[in-house]
Amino acid sequence: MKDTRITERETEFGEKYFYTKHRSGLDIYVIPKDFATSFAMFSTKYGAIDNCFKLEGEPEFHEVPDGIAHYLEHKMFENEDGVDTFSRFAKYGANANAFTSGTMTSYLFSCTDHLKENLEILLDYVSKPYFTPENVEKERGIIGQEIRMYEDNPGSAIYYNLLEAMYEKNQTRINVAGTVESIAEITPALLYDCYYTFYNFSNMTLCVSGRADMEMVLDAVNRILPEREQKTIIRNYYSEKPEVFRKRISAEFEVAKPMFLIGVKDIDISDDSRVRMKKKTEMGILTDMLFGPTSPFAIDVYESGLVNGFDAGYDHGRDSSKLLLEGETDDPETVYGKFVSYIEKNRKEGLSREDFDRIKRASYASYIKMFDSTKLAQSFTYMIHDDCDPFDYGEALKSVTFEEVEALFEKLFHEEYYAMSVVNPVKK
Amino acid sequence: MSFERKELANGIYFNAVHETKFKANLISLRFVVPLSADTAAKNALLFPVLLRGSERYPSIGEIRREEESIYDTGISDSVYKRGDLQILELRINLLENRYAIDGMDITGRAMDLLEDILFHPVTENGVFREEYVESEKKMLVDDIRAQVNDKRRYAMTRLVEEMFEGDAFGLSELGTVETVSSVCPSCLTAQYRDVLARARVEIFAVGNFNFEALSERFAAMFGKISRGELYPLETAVLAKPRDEVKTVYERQNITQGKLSLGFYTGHSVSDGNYHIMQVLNTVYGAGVTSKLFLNVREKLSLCYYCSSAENGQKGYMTVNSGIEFANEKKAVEEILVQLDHMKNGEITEDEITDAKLALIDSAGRVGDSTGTLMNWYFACVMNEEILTPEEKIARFRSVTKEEIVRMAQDIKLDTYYFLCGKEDAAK
Repeated sequence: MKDTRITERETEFGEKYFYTKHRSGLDIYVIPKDFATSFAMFSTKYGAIDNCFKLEGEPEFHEVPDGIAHYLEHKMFENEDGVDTFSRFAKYGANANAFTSGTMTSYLFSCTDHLKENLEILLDYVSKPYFTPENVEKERGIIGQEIRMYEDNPGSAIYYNLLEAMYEKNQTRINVAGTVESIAEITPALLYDCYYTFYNFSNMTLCVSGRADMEMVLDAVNRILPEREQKTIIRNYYSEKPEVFRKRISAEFEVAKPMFLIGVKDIDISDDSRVRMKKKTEMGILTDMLFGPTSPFAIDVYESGLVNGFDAGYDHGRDSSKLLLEGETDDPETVYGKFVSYIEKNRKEGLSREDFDRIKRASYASYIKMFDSTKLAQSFTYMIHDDCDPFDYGEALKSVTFEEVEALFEKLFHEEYYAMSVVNPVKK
Repeated sequence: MSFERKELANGIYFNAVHETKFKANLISLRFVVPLSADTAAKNALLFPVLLRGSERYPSIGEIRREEESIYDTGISDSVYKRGDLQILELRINLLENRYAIDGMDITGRAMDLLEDILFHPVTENGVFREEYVESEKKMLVDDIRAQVNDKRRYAMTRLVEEMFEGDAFGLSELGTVETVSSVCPSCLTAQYRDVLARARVEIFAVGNFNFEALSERFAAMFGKISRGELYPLETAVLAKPRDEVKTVYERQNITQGKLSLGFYTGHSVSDGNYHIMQVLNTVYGAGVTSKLFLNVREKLSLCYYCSSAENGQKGYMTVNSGIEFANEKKAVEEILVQLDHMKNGEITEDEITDAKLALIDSAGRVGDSTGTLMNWYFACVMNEEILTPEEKIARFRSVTKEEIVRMAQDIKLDTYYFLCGKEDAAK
């Protein structure tokens, strides 16, 4: 391994990671932790939104059915020798799983023993697709029931409905599992096409935290990953206008009380990852200042009894940026009206510097707490997939200024960017 | 890692779990009280009302701002049931002092806040402020009604209600819409005094503290209240299964059916060999190498999830699955066939080894988080047997196939619950 350059970084509070780019193109991170549990995550930058793509040099884009990335994840557990992947891990006591989101597919395990053997299994099964008409068919019933389960889940429906209201064309609106109709079109050939496009190692990452060292990880990677040509993927995402597509969307479910989810759309996403990281830290602090547990808004809707279970969140990454507010209320339109006038009041009166200082410190505290997690490799993966170094993120958090947050506030909030999704109880 | 326990006052225990590898520590107070129809709602309301305001921080905004100021030290409350007991918890997750950038004594300030919240609530004429009580009642009623929103959990809750009808364990730890609505500020205040005087209190400090100083602080805090006769705290294990299976169909406007089966086992943690039941349950239906996963899901493609769970307080087991309405019979048949295999000894050595390894792995990671450490030792003190994870692992290793088969033969279907669609709904 003389040709492999390993970078080591350390924080002032004693956390460390090792990084290298493997010759296959794979980004490898090892985060040593004094835990009994080790955790490994092998991920591809491929999710539900990647339904239109081609490889560099190909004339035409491939369009594939909704839900195929998730279907592919399920089918990766199938092996040519008929041995189920879960039972391979079970021999070494590992707890294995996988998941698909809009932008990534991850295969993971955690274990307290036999890290090396489990890592070998992970690298092996994810690099060996085996799809047959029979095994692809078998999965349709299982995933069909997974889709049905979400169809009865108002929390899932209110979220996807909001995305459909906010975005007119962009793939962000695609449901990760697809629909019973869309998955009916999935074939072994389509799965192989997606696999060999997105599971090339230069589009993937491997993060291992716990009792791991880079030498052992590199040794496993060298022995197990097959040689694969590095490819450049061209993804076609449909562009969006800044305004939301529809202001309102609603559905009926067997729920006790109406639920609301307000979204603030933001299409100002930089191509420069450092700019995105900076904005992400600002957005986190701003979201907490305006809608966190100590915000006048959260306290008002709690004390007045208008909203039960109020919560606010945001995301800001390469493929999507938005702020979300949710809760249960008898009167979603009143909540929406309060939200709009609250923003205008803040615009007129200005944000509070005292709130900013307190929340910035609290944000830094919760950043440090992240390192207590046995799933650190997962937090790392999320950041790395957005080209954001987890240690730089802590530094960026410390350097955010009040003026930067004020400027972001001005840009982010305008009525044409707001949409609301509502779930109403079924009329008896 | 080390564990020490001492009694600070009558029925008040301080449990110290010393571990230096975390950046954030955990302090938790668990008040253990009997679960009963008369008091469940009042108990469920207690901590939410206390968290609305204290003498020094008289509103929820002031409490939350103080929490945030001490490096985002969240104080959260929860209520749940354990056998026939109701557990009321206040939990504090706090950054260790040495990570404070400005030298703040995070633990000290968190303890000041905790003391004020717990012992100095906002009162008017000696009772809790009506506005706070009414507002928390309204939210708790909403929470109770909202249980229907999550169909999977709803079905599991309904099964327990039906299976344990007439038993304390069949009650909801949140109370009912009616009992919550009838709580008044003065009766809640009386219940607060009663709980402070009579509950068993398990205090946990997990992480890296000056434990001596912390236990003295707690002793002083609780020394100011006068303790009365302790509540009787007992859980009755199911004595026998129903003679005839209780069958319940409930209809809602939904697209996927939720099947929930309740089985009598009669075995409980107090028997001393409950680890056999845990291996049995893992072979049968917990996890991705279990009989239920491999057959009901993988072989027959009937569902996305089908799993079993055991309960070592009350002596029962459940199986839960989400299925097409039309597949009800097929799924139930397979679930019962797999149980028969357990009883007939149709179990491979591989299945047993895989199950043991999964349980060993999960016991092996107990020391990796303050929360799991606390739950581990809380279970130990409640079960009156202090075991380290390593000792438990040795017990899992010792389980034999014969022991599993013998115990499986005691399992019997007791309650059958199916949440299904409206009869007139389109398929």
